[in-house]
Amino acid sequence: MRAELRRRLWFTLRALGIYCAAIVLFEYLLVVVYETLGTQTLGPVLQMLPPGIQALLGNENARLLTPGGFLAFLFMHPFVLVLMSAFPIAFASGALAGEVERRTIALILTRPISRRQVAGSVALTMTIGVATMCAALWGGLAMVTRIRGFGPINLVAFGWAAASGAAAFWAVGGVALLSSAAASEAGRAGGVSAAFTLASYVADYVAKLSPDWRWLKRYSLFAYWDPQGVVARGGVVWSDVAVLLGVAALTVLLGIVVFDRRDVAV
Amino acid sequence: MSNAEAVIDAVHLTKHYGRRRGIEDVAFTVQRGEIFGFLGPNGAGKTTTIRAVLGLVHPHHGRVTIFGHPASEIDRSRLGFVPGELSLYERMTGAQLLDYLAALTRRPPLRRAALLERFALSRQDLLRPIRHYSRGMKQKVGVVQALQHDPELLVLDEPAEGLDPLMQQEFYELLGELRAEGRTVFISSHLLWEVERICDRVAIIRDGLLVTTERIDTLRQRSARRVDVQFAQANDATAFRPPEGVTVERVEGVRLTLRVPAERTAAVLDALAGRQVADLVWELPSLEEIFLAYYRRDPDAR
Repeated sequence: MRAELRRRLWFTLRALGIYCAAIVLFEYLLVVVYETLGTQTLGPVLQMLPPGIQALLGNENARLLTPGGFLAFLFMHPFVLVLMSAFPIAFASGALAGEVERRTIALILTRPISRRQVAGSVALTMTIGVATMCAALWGGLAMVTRIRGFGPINLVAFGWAAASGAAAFWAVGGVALLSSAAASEAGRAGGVSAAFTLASYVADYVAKLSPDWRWLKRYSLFAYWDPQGVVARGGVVWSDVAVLLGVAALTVLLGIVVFDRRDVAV
Repeated sequence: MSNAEAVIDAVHLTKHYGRRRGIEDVAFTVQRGEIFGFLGPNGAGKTTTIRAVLGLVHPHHGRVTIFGHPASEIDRSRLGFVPGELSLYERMTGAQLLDYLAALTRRPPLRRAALLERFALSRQDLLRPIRHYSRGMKQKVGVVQALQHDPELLVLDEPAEGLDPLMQQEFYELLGELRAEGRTVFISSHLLWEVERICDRVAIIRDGLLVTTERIDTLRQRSARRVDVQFAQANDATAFRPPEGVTVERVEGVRLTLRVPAERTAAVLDALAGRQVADLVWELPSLEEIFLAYYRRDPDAR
């Protein structure tokens, strides 16, 4: 299994590096935008936004205008969410369904390595990759705020926000792994996972728009990851983290079982 | 052969893909030290059978044992596999791929150096990414990865596809050497001349059903042979009445070509007795003719 894990990690490094660099660059750009516009300009702009867009921003306007509140919003920015979801979905889809589609899986499965080990090495690489991206999210923020002299911010609270983010994107990766384990085409596996993630995000957003739709919240992964709340409180809600870790563990486990039992027609 | 050890034992293998039949009640045994050919056109069930043998698909009925163990429980380091429509990791170099697969196999790649030399793969070739390889080079690497750890059983699905004639020759010689060393080879192919040349026994599969499993020489002996008779006079050829079961394929002047089932040989000789025969040539059928004869038969007749 060590050789398999080493190969997966080695050939993921470049993509992972690009994702991490994009996150840090985006953090830098957003801080520059905040500094350039200043609260004098941003305040009235935020007040003019329709309620639907304000729901997307999450925090109340007064908190958004503080450096800490603004950076917490950055964690929930759609661009960051897309990047953070894209890695586990693309990696997990390509690793199992993609290898079945390309037929390379036959080279592995006819060797003394079990299917559980193959799927397990994919899960482990995905876990390490997501953790690295969350570390980049937090590390980039620490670096950018230091370089730009931006603050004051509570880096420990942001550390908790990033750590709970890892749980959220492990859950996204778990769903992607399950979908990939059952599929024979990377595109189909990736499409199902992306649709699930998007539906989860939309459910969370719609739940924020009206009390009538609040019931949708419990069905969304993103309802259990609230970086703005974590930064405001200075700590995580452990029950939310437990839900995310539970979804991640369950879907990975199911993915391993499904891959172990399926037919691999290569 | 009956005392030999069965390396692959497939019993009542059945696999359906939805409503489509994959294979039905396929059963055969491959003995240690033999080259066993598995024949059939595309879609006949060859690849499904190979998948079941390798444990890649789970049969609905039946079982496969390899080295006496269920296919899912065998020590796969004893196995070498060249897939049909071979696909390799394009971003790796040839050397990285061979090292990686050797590490997965957990057996030292004892044969690698000799195989690389034999298939004319240089060190420089192996340092290039596989995406830059020609089809033939990829196939050579495919053969090396399957054999480098000196497996006891080789499963080959159309292994010579993409190899140039010289390399094909080299490959068949290698298979002969492996047989001499006691290795077992299970080879699927639609190139009948190559199977005829290298295999000890063959199985023919048609529409998912195994039609026959036999030694090639027995198959040839048992099949109808072609008899060319050259009479001294042309009217003897036209007047000849073939015995029951024998068919006239062609009459051309003094020459007559008959198709004679093995059990009707004596009847033909009796019928020719008393006529002036200038020449008589008996030809055993080629594997291709046998194969086509099986395929032309009415499926309900089996």
